[in-house]
Amino acid sequence: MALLLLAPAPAGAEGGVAWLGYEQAAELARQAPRPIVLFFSAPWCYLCKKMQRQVFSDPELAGRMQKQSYPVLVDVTQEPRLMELYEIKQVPTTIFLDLNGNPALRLTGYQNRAAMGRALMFVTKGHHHRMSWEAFSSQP
Amino acid sequence: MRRMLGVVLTALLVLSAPVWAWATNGMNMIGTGAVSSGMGGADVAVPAGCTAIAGNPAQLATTCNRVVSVGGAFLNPQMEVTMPGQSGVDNEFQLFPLPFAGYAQRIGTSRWSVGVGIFAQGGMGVDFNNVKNFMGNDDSLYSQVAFMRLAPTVAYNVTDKLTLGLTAFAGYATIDYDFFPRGVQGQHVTGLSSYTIAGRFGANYQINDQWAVGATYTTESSLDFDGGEMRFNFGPGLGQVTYRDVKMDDFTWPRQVEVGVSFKPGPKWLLAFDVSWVNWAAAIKTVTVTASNPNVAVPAGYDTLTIPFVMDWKDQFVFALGAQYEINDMWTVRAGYNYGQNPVPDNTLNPLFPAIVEHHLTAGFTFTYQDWDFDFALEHGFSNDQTNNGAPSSTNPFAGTEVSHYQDTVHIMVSYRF
Repeated sequence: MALLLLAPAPAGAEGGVAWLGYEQAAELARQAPRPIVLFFSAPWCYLCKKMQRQVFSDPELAGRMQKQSYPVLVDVTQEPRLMELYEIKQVPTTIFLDLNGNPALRLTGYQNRAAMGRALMFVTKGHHHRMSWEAFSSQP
Repeated sequence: MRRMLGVVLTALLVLSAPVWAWATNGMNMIGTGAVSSGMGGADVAVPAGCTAIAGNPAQLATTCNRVVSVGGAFLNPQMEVTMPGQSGVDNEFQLFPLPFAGYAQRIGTSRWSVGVGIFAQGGMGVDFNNVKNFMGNDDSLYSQVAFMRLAPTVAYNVTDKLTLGLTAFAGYATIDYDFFPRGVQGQHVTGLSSYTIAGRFGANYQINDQWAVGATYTTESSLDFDGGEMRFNFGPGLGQVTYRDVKMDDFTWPRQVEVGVSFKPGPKWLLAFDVSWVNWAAAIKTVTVTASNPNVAVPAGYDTLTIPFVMDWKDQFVFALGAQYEINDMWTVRAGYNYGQNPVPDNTLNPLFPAIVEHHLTAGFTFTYQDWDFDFALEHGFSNDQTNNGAPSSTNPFAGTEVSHYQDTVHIMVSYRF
């Protein structure tokens, strides 16, 4: 019952990514391990809003994110503890946590749909154990 | 400090020379950067990167990390001057590079963004050879007005919706001109230069996800040109006399007020509209050139020459309309229209300073590859004709002269985010 209450919105929702809270995602990851995607944003951050509008609103990407990971939106003005914990120096910053909760990939700045989809594959398929992000992202 | 600033600006000007522009809203460019220019200069309420340094400084806050931009424009003016009773003479081929370089960054996760840039604010210039002077002999009309600005900028997100910005302009301007130098009373003037400071305040308010409004106020830049040299042609008798101290007074870059609105009708579209008021009437009235310290003995009364250029420009309203469409993650296309009222009165038209183009159409695109943006825009200024209908006088030597002018400009810019 608890899992049902905590379950994220259905994959591929037209409204884009249904974000979770950090604690909520951590609890879900303990119950059913998946990578966690932390998207650090700020209310005044233009590129964060642009990513929300152009990247995370994409039904295909949103569906994949919610099916393969637990997406978390972190407002750095409300979550100074998380900002300090993950050493956030700028926004937008996107951090992918592996199944053990360790940072597997950190992307700073605006990321388009293709880059975000590739990053999701990099972590969820375990490529981060075998090669660097630079090597992976430069593959055709 | 002033000397150091002068050295820096002079070095940058030399590195980017020649930057002489035939500017298009009076003496101002319609926009700085390929993004702004591609939208017809409608940029007050439009997110910008580094080019906010030359536009609305509040838009610098849309820079979230660090970005460096380098680029500029290449401007090709086409002009014709027709003196009374003569056939028209085309200007010599000119292609003016107008550089821009800037850096901007967000300070950590704070509400502050900072940047600095250097760019060509505007200017104008002509190069007519084989024009008949007032004696009926082949002569030349030539002018170069250039204005570069170094601009440290800061922006602050006051709230989630309201952003303010401030730019300090350190400017350096130069003027050279030839006024029928082979004829009697002809002048060949070189080396006039001036440093100046000014400021621009900007604001942007994001009403909701679709609508934003913005405004800027730019103070005037008072330019006190000096350090020039003039070769004045007295004709038979004294002949050519060189005056070694030449200055120019009452040439001012005007204050300006801009308001703009942007609207996103859909996730891929952005429409923008700006209205600007440029206070040329207070800036360009009678420009006076004073020449002294002649290199030879001259009769009494000729030690110092005072030469007025009565210009009496009018205030100008500029209307800019732009549209942007994001095809996909990599390609964005733009188009724009810009209309700036001709600030030059009919009765003071001077072919040395004919900033008369009014209508512009623009188109452009951005290609984004990873952390790189490659911006490109084309701008066409449609032909405008104007005839000096003032009465002939010593302060209106160009009565009856007609000038026509159109121009094409290519804008390119490369930006890297890191």
